[in-house]
Amino acid sequence: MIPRHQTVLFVILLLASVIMGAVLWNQLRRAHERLLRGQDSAPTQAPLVAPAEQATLMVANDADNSVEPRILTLPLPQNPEARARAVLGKLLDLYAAPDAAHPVPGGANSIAQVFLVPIAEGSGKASPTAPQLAVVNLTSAFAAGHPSGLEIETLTILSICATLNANLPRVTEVRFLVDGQTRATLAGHADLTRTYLAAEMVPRP
Amino acid sequence: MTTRESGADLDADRRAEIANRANAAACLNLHAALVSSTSGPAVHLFISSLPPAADARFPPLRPRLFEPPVAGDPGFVPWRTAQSAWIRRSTELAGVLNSALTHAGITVTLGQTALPAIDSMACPAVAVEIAPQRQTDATSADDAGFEAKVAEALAAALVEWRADGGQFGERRL
Repeated sequence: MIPRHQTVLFVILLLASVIMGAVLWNQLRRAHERLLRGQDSAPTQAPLVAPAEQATLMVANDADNSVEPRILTLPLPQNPEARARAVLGKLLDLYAAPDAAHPVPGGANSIAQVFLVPIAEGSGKASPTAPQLAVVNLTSAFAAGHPSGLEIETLTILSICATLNANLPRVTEVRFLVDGQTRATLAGHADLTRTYLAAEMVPRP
Repeated sequence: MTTRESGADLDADRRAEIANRANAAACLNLHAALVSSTSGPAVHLFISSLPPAADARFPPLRPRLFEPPVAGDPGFVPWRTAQSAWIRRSTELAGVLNSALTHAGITVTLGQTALPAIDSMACPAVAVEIAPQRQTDATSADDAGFEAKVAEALAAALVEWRADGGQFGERRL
């Protein structure tokens, strides 16, 4: 025999559940209506053609284990993150070319995203001119297809870091992700868990 | 002492651990590139790209505050940056290896790399990548003659490193 007070409590809880379900359903419907009202059905703005600018690519050469600057004129977006992705995409396009001095398959699509994060200084607040950490998110296809070797992996990392620093001087540190996840090495050798100091990756004569 | 005598692979941490426990005077981390991109066979020498540090140790343990540290406790060395205190010696070792390989007529390139195995070594450490000549057909990328030549040059360099131990470093093989 169920005590009377437990029966009453069960009924109260059941009623509360039904009422809360009804309220949630109502709020969901209202939120959906608000979302539909907020949609702009007007035609989207035509994309602006990015102006061509000079970019410095630090291009690796396996023959002499070097990284040399190459200045190209490229259409570069104004947004720094998009600009970084465009510059690195061009760099990897050079490596994917048939006669590349540093042959690495993949091309521009190998850079999924580049995020620029201000590095907070002692006060904890980052100023507009504060140095930045670039987080380069590579695709897993690029990492899987990258040739395995100490020299070739090192040069890929070196040239990416140096290219970022050459075109975005505020980028002083670089970290790498692969499909949004940390990965131990690029293709078995070069450490991808480390924070690279971009300024120090610029080759010295 | 070698860390790989058979097909069984050891991870980078285990290799560094063996090297550190052995108090090695010189650590070589050998790699074989699948193909060389240069016109001929070559050897690539790499030292760690960690910034040099005078001493990366944490202070020795103290039983209580204001008491002297435990006798004989050398302190802790950060595992992932242990090599930073050895960059100067590693550079010297790379120089000796470069000299011996060049003397043997082998093309050598020098560089820095971020390789977990040598970054954790508390000894003069150099990563050596042996890159045979580019193969243009289906033949094997192995070049036994070239590898033997490299091995002889490396052995000669280590003998010199040991002989000049007083000049190049403090510990001997």
